[in-house]
Amino acid sequence: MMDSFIAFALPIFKTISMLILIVAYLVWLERKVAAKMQSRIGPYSVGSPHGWLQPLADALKLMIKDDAVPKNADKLLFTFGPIWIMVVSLASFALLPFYFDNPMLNVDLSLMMFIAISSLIIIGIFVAGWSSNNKYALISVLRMTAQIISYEIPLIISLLIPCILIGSLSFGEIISFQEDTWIIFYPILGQISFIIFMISALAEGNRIPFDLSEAESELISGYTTEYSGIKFALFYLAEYVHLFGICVLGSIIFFGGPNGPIFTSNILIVIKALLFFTLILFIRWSFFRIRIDQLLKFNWIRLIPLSFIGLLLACLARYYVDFN
Amino acid sequence: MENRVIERDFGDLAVNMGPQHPSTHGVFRLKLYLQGERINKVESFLGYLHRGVEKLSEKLDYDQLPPVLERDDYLSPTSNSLGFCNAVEKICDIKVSRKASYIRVLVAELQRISSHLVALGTYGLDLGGALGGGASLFLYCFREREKILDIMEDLTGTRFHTNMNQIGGVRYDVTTESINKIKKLSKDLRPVLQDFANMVSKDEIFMKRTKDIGIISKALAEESGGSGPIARGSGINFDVRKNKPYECYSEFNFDIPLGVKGDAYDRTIVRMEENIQSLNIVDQITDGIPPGDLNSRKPLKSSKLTKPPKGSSYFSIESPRGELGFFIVSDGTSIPYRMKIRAPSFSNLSIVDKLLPGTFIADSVVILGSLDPVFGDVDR
Amino acid sequence: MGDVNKSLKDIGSFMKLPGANLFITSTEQLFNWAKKSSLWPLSFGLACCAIEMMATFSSRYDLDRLGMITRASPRQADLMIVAGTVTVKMAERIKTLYDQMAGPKYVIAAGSCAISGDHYRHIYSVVPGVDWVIPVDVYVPGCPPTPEAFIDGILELQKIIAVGKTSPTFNASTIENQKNLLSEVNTKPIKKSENVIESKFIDKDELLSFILQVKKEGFNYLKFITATDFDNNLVLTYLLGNNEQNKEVEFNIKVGEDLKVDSLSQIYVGADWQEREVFDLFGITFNGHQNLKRIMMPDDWIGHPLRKEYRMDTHYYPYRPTRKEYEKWKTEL
Repeated sequence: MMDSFIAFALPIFKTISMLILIVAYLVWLERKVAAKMQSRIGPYSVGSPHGWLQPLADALKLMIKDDAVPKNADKLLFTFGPIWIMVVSLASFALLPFYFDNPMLNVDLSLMMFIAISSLIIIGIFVAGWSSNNKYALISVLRMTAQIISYEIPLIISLLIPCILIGSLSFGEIISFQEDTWIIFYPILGQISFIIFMISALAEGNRIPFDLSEAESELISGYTTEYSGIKFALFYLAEYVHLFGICVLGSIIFFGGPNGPIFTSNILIVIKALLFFTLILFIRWSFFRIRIDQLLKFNWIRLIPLSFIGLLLACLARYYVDFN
Repeated sequence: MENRVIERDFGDLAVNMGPQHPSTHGVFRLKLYLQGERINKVESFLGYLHRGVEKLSEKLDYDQLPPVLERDDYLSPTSNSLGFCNAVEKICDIKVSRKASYIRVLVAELQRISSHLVALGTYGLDLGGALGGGASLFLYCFREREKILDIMEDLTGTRFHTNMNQIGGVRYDVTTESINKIKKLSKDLRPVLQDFANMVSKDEIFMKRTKDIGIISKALAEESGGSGPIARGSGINFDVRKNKPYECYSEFNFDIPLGVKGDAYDRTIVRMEENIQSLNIVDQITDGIPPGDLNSRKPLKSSKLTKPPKGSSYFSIESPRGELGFFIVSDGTSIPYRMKIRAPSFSNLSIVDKLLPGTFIADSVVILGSLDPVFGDVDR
Repeated sequence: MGDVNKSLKDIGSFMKLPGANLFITSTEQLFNWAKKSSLWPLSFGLACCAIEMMATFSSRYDLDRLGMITRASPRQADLMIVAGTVTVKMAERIKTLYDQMAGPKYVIAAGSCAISGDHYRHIYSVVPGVDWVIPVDVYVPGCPPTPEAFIDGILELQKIIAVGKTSPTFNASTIENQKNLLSEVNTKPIKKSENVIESKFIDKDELLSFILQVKKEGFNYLKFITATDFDNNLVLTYLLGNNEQNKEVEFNIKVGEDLKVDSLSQIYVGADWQEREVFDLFGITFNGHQNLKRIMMPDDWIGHPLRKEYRMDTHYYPYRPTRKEYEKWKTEL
């Protein structure tokens, strides 16, 4: 009984602790990279070389901070929101083969399932924004819902393009397919789908130029306006976990996952994901924010038609390969 | 089955922006009545920084006032004392030496650049948030501004409220080393300002966010008393430096940049161009400051001895935000009987009620930022 | 922090274990370290000092080195830097913001205005120091403090946090809502001057027709409307400009006993706020103004500050602790 429980729980524990560690240092990395871009130093004095204890101090402080709940908030939902978001963003990692040799959950439709799980995040965000009884939070979640629902379409289609080329939805097969050539190097189709994926990942991960729900200059902090202490820490962490999940997904689908020019190892997934994350960082710290109507217009008029064209091309290519 | 359409008017969602809000540029409160993302009605509330400077000035001597007034428009402190000193000099009929005049203009123009840099930087925060590209623009602007503040420290001993002007002249002399430093600064600043101009005028998102947003027509700008970059952005060729030259501005060569449409983008570009023109003026000054006295008045034993004759006078100068005027009523004593500050930000900001209805909530931030109000100046 | 400390100390049985004391002291030290290393200030500024505060956050001084990033929401902020003059109207908001912040929370009063009101301290609308409203941990002097002084203040606050001192609690409910509504009547005779303005005077009834005529001539630019309190009468001064011909026209009207003048707000957009300001500070009513409310002072303010009979130091505090309470938590600090 105990043994089977340990066998069940140990990988979960390992993955989560590894993830939290990575994500904590993603925050540190982000602050450092941003500082470099802005001719600053960034975290320095907390922990000897370059403030390496900064994430720890932040996390600890948020844990011991008062947990304020607004008077008129829906207390149950107010607590449920951050927990749901954290659980969902961690759960999506069950499918990703990023730390162990095999993912914890090995199913044929793993890509489909990953998208299905990660799109559940919006429920938590909506609940959090709605229950805080704050107008900024309300506007924020309304924006967020519109944004995520719209950008889910190009995201899924951009992922379907490689899947049609490969002919499978399972991460294992996607990885083994890319042993020789990564998807990003497939002419036209690879680049189109990667660009669409990149843009919609920014929108999914709620990053500038698409971070309308946390638009600081308009909506204070969006749906997290009323959150403090540990609940805010959960939001903060979940945002990065989710973003890292998207980065890992991108590195698997487009950059060949563990396949490398010299050696093949799962550590390459993490390295590629980190590089991908840094790219997103560069974008974040150099762009202004777009307006909500422009965002939706861009999606429905530009991005979705482009992704359908890509999908059509992928189908034709597949047809050509299969029947010639 | 019966088809029933229930129409319900849920009314407007009233959202308070401010007094504490990241993008109200100080303590300003906007009450936005929203219909979805769109603004239906606006109410604005000010006075959160009303410090009663006009009342205070009825207690202080003329000579005590310039340092107090510098706290007024705190992004360009010198222009306040410059305007006040000029107004008093006009009543008292004091002639300022050319050297003092040159130094005054030098400091005022350097602070115009620093003020416009803050305007651009905080505008970046409005557009991009403190956790994004806007923050980068903000920090670049402040990085460059520090260089100007260094010059200020070199000239006067303080970074911020320079306290350079006094009635009759200036307080400190400018040394040759300072001149060399300013020359170097001017040389360094030009390519950086060009970079900033490229950063905004070649950025697709910046253009999308600011073009055709908050269009101020010529008539609206004039009737509401708009001046400075707000009026010039709408194409009104009005600059006190050219229209009613004060100090020694008539000796310098500079252009007045004008906008075409009067939208938020034009106002930003006008500010960027003005920086270049200010640098031109600074270059002309550093080429040669004429010799002369620092202060044309003899030192007085007490500030009570400055007693302008009875009467009233209005004098206006071009502060970075527009026409900054001082209306002084003197009853023959050493303290002003009444002093009205014609604050450019106050008039410029009054347009906001007319501009916001019909725009999006995200635009409200952009429009407010493009007006560049300073609340020390608005509320006084 | 109060809750955590309390719950930790409540675990009586745990305390009996050997080494428990040591554990709790070291956890407290750890918590204090976390609190001091990750001070997130509220992005909140009032006046001049806020610009220097922004400069402190910017590239050259970079408070991110000390682990400080600004938060726009008071719920997530630990530190409130009150940078600038605190006015009566703003004091209520500062109190609200302070109450909205989740503990442990700290306050730095930056600049002489926030400490004592500086040269504005006798002004009717200014609170002489933010510590009349909220408890302050560290005072940073200067007008405005240089970035170096700001950093010094923050390091000083970190020292205070490291030894575990917490700010005095300040219970809002105990504060008496005292209002000195012009209780002190000015007994000194007011010296008012005779009219000294020499520019053109027009009759009060002719104002609208004169304005319309002037506007037809191209004087579209309304520079300002203001008033002066002379002996026996208030004088309104108007200044209009013509940008194309580069001309100005200045004229005055005597307001008279009834303190009522026709409004220009239908003719000039900018007259709206200008007239509200004159109404607020002088008490002159404008006939036909759509929204004649106070603009600078709170709506329930009594008196018109720029009248000569209004004493400059007629204070009126919204949240004013009694002197005793004030002294009490000052000593607790």
